[in-house]
Amino acid sequence: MNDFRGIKSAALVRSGAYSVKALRFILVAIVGILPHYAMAESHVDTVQILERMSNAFKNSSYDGVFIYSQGTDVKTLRVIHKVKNGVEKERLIHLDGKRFELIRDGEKLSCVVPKTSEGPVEHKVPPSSFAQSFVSNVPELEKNYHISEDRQHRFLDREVMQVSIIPKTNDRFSYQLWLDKTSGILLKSVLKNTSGDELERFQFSSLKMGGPIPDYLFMIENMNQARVVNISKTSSEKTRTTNKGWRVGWIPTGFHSIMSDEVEVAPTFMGNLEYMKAYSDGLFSFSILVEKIENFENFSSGEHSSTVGATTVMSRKFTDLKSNYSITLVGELPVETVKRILASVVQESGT
Amino acid sequence: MSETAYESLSALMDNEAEDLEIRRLLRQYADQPELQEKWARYQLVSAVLGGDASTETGVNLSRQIAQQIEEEPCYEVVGGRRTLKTGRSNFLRPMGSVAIAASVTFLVVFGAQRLSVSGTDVIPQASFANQSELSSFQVEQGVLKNGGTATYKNGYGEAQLASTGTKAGNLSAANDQRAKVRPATVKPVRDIDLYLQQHARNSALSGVGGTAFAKTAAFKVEQ
Amino acid sequence: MQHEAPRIDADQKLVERVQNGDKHAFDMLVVKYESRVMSLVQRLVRDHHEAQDIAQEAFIKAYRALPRFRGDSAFYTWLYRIAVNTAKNHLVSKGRRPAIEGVELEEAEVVGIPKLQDIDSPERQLLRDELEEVIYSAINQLPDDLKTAITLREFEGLSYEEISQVMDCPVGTVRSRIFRAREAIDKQIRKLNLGDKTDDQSP
Repeated sequence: MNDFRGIKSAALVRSGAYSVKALRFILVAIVGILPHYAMAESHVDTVQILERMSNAFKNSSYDGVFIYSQGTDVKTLRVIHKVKNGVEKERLIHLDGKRFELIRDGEKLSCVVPKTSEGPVEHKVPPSSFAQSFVSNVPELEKNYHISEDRQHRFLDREVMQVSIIPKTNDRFSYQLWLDKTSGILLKSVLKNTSGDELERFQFSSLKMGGPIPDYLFMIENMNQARVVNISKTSSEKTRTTNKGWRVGWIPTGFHSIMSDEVEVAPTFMGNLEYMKAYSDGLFSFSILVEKIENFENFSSGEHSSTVGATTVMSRKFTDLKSNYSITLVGELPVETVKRILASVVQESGT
Repeated sequence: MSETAYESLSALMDNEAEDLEIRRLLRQYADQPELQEKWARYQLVSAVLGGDASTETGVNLSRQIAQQIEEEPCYEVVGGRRTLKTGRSNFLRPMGSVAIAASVTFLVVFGAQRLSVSGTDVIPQASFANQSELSSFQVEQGVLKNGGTATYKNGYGEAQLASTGTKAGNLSAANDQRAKVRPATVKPVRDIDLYLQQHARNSALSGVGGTAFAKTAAFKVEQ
Repeated sequence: MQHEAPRIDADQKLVERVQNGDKHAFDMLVVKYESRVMSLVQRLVRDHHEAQDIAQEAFIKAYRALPRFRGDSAFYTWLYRIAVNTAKNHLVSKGRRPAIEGVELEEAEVVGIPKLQDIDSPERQLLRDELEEVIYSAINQLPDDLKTAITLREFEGLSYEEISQVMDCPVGTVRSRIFRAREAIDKQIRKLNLGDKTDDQSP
């Protein structure tokens, strides 16, 4: 048994200064607690307003024009949203380039493209509506991020609350949000990389809220020049992936699998896809796809990463004795993190 | 004091902490005595375990040294590719913030050189690439050519670990320490839009502030 | 062509931070090496206060010379060399010989100085033994996975990546196991200090 008395630890652990340090620690601790109490109230507000945000987009009526930038690519879009008799209507119009609109009326979804365009458009239709794109699971978010209210500002002639969502680990990006104080709606968001450089921006340039949104705003103009494709929900098939034989060895803290084994797989991947998994930390997500590749020559090796705004696509090859595989990670994560996850994907032994 | 900072400290002991993690840690280190003490104790344990713990366990020079260093200038990276190679440039600047700004620019520029562009909407992203990473990439290539058998040595002899294919990529071929092996990345076999779209489907309902919207934006309208 | 992974100096990242203008990174290096440098200097210059001044001067010199540190050798080798030279200059200026007979300074540079037990006072030796005992017993009480991880790291010098292969677990898990092991040991070490206070009250 150790006799600690014999040690009198003094010289042991740089401890000459320990009693002084202990005192200082207590002081620091006391001082440190004070601002937390002061902050507690505003923190509740922040959490509440974040929780309100996702509902605000879904349950309010609004008509606004916004930009979405990813790096140097900037898109301008108009969104019209209305809830009437419990039914959600949404029209999302791309204002730049070729005509492209999505009109949702309850369960019905139509896609508007130029009359001259040919070919399928289903694959161009995003899986969720604009209003559903701002889901937040604040309790989960709080586990992985520091959520803090920065300061109050005026934006778009409204009083806004500026919220920072800073990751607790430095393997992912951060967000700054500007939320309308009254409605909770997101007016602006900036996604920054770990060095603080802006990667993506969402920003309304005009927004009408509260007033009546007339039905004619959901009617398609210039019908004679448009091709309207009705997208049926059943058109997308779900495929069961076996999801066996591979293992993702490392994922950043707080990420968890968000996908069931039954997933909707784009036709392109059918047949080749060996494994697919998606993970999220409540804010960002990434997918891992393992495909069997026939032809090795298609690979050009070297350091490749394709980045669109915050999203990185990176592949790595893998060869067992029988086949060649490409392991691809796509997700909103820094390249370093992507590499680290990618490196950890291994074939499970015994399969 | 957060566990995260302590864990970073532990990783830093082993040279396994990420650059940004270290920066964050250093910012906290200055004014958190408990972090400083933790670092000292970690080091002490490591030294004892390494058998080279000095008997001078009561040494505490750091305060006096820190005070003297305070009066010394900060260093800054001037041009150059690598901080370690810039030894000749003896340029000193008094401001730490200037130095940090410069190093970030340097990283971005250097990262851009390594970025292979494919697709249309590609912007360079700060990549914390460094030489060791490039070299270890080569290491992995070497490992692969060796038929997937990686050998490493440690102080207690030599061990052989056999594995197949790029699995060996996870193994360091370093002879005793800490080289990080990175995967050999390749150009994605398909149009990246396809991956972006599939990812959007996989994670249709996650994210605030428009990450999900970004995924929907991946559904390109034009050709 | 043979590819060999570069040997990465464990202090490389901190050194880089100093070179990038972060003085706190140097402070961390000082904390890491002060006792070892002190011990080295003490073997050359017997007087404790003199040795302290020399160690301190060596660190300041190292800080000033850091922009010229090119990573050709490990940081600690480089630092020890500076410390030995500082001690040497000090002794020359005082017209004295190094404290250790028969040990060339050049040998000292490679830190190959034989341990001279007589430098250690019996109390210090006792402290050290106690410390070792606490640390080893803390390690012995660790759950197997933590024990393996910390052992592979501290005794075998394996990288996290290598440990992850050996233990067949993710690198992130290795990192966290090593951290948890260190924390468990740390807890025991801190008890040594707490022991001081309780001792005053208990018989």
